[in-house]
Amino acid sequence: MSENLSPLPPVGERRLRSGWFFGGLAVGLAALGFLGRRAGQTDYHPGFVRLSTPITPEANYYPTVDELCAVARSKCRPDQVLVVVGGNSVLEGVWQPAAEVWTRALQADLGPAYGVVNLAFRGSCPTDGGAVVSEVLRKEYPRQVYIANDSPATAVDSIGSDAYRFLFWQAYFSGRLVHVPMRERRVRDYLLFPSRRSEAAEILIRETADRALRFHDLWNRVGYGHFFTVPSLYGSAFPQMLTPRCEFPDLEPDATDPSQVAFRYPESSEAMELKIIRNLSGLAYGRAPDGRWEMLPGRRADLIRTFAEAFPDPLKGRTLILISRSSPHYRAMLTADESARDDQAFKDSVALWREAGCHSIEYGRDFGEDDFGDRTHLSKLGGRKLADLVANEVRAIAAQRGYLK
Amino acid sequence: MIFTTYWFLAFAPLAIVVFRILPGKGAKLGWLALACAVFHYHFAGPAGVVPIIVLMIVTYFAGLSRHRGLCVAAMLVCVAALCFYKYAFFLIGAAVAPISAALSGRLEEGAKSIMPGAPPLGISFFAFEFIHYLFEVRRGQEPIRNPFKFLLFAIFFPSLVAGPIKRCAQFLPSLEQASRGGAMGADFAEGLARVGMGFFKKVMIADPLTSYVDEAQPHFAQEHLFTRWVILAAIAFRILMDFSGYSDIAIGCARMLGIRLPENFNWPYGARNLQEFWRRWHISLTSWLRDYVYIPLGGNRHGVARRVFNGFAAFALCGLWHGPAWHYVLWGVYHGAGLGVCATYRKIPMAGILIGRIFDKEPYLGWLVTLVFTWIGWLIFFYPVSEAMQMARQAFGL
Repeated sequence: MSENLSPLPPVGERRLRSGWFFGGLAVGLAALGFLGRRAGQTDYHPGFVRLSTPITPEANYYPTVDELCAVARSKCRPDQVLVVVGGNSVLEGVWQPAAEVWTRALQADLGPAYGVVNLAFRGSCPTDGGAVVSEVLRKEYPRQVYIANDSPATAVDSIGSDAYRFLFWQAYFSGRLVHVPMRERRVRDYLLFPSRRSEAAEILIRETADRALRFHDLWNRVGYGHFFTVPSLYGSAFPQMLTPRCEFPDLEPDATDPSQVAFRYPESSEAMELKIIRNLSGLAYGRAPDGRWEMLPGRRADLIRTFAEAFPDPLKGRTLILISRSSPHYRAMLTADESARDDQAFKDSVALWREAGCHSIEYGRDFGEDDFGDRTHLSKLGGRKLADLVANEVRAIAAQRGYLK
Repeated sequence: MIFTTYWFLAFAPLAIVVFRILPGKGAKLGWLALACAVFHYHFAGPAGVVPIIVLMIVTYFAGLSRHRGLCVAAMLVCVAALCFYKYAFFLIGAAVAPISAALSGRLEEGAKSIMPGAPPLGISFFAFEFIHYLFEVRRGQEPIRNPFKFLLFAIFFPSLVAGPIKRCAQFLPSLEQASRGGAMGADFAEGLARVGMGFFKKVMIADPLTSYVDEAQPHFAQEHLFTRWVILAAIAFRILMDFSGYSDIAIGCARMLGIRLPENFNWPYGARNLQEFWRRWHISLTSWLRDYVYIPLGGNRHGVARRVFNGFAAFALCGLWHGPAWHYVLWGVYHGAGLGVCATYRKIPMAGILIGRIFDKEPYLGWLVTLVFTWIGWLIFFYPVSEAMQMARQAFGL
């Protein structure tokens, strides 16, 4: 600009002004960091049941590791065995109302010696959020069982799935995970992949800054309890989007409610659901020379490798992986040959998880149509059956590991 | 949006604070050049940086030569680069496909094989700034001899991605003043406030409006007439807040360095006629088009018909500059036509004079007509032409 220069104030005065500004900035950031740290240490989800959609990334709410750890602490005293439920929407309890979700039945089955916390996210894999929280709390709760579910013949990523990897990065960059060389290699491969240059920089800077300033914890505290500022499918337009997330109820419908029947097995999606079921084993299996169904060698190698890398060795023995059967409504439509292939896939998946050092069972084979809310999710009736099955396994793991006298 | 990345939030304070505390002009300029290069490389990647370096070298030496022919040749190189990277597929589809589908297919394949995945970051801004520089040098302005200063003019990080489009006659004295330590605390404070305002506009207003528009627009036809206009208003304010927020952050960051960038917006929806609107909306682009397209074509010097044609051409280019698609061109032509009417209607005997008097007497009427005209224009800008036309009809209950 061709404007005339204004006379500069004396150097001393300029330094003083700068000093005040940067001093104030530092004090302000330190104060915010302190508040964030406090927020992360507090459980501000009274009556927490599960991660219902308004407090998940689906609704632009990104829970932090500290926030979930605080929830776990409020659900489990140090003298109890902590049971962390991870996995996907099936274990989250889709089609089961909050008051009757299967993890409540699990808690009732297990009794006061155990504290159950449901940290399953929709569409997540066994190594996502719940697994991260469980690993972070390994020293605080040495007596612990981690439960997750998955489909048969499905590989897992040791650093979690795309949608929930933010939790892994939080725990990883704050140095709260077990050092596992194979996982370290996966982290390096992921971050150094050429097309992820910008994403890697974002992750590194975000996590480094958050470790110091704890802004995620602070904003979640504000967003949950006071006002939310980011538009999402919940209250997208102003001023509804400002509604704090604590005001959104858990509205999960009850599959056994007669008004919901029409939505459970709609004819319009039958072909698509059957295709999904068929592909679960269909894409992973081929015929052996003797005519039996056999897992494709590439897929088997993938599963062996990823299951072995999924959890740190010391934590595998207290990990239970559930392999979820589909509803008999659709299974009845499979041919005998397809059913045989399916059976083989479930059997192999359980065996491979066990070979990797985890506990594993399949469930749902003997469940009826009413035990399911749809193809894969359980109704509250099926949830109770699952709770019984899982409680037995949890007690067995606890006994095996000497958690309870 | 680059300004809302963590990388930028970490980079900008470092770049600005170090620039301000470094002693000596050379150190300041060197640091700023380094920071700008790092910024450009980080966001553009090697494939995006190389074409810009080539254009920079061509422009720098053509300017340095002060040879009129070389300057014109370099301008043509810039235009060709812009056409190639941004408009190749559009031009092939528009000009070649109607004649020969086979040739069009071959050309597209050829272009794909040599083109990076996306056009180099900010290619439109680079091209316009370089053309401006070469045009001015050709007209007798002193070229930039210091390569550091030229580099800074080319890749000055606050304005690199989405402007404002700089003019070297404004930018260089401001850079000189800032590098001599002339950046004041008041600059820093005003810049910081401007950056805060930009983020507020983008994050608190534009993003929620985007979310609302995305949700509401598909049901436009089913909505009540009043709601349709609410959606139109949301579309109009979304683009204003998004773009002016971006400009505020760019201007604010530059100001924190002690460097002044041209303003880009000045309450455009308060304009009382279309000419005024374009003096308030994306000012740096409009003034560029005026100086380097409209006036060189003859401006308003050769009668009404030529004036209207020149406006038409400038605004068709303005539309095309926003993206390689016909609806952008149509949006430009729509505004070109509107400006043509706005500039000439008073010359129509009786009716024109009468309408002019009404507008003079009731300025709010002119404001309302302008507002409706520009808001309907945004439908053409954002949506496929047939959908935009349908929405425009529905907005009037037709």
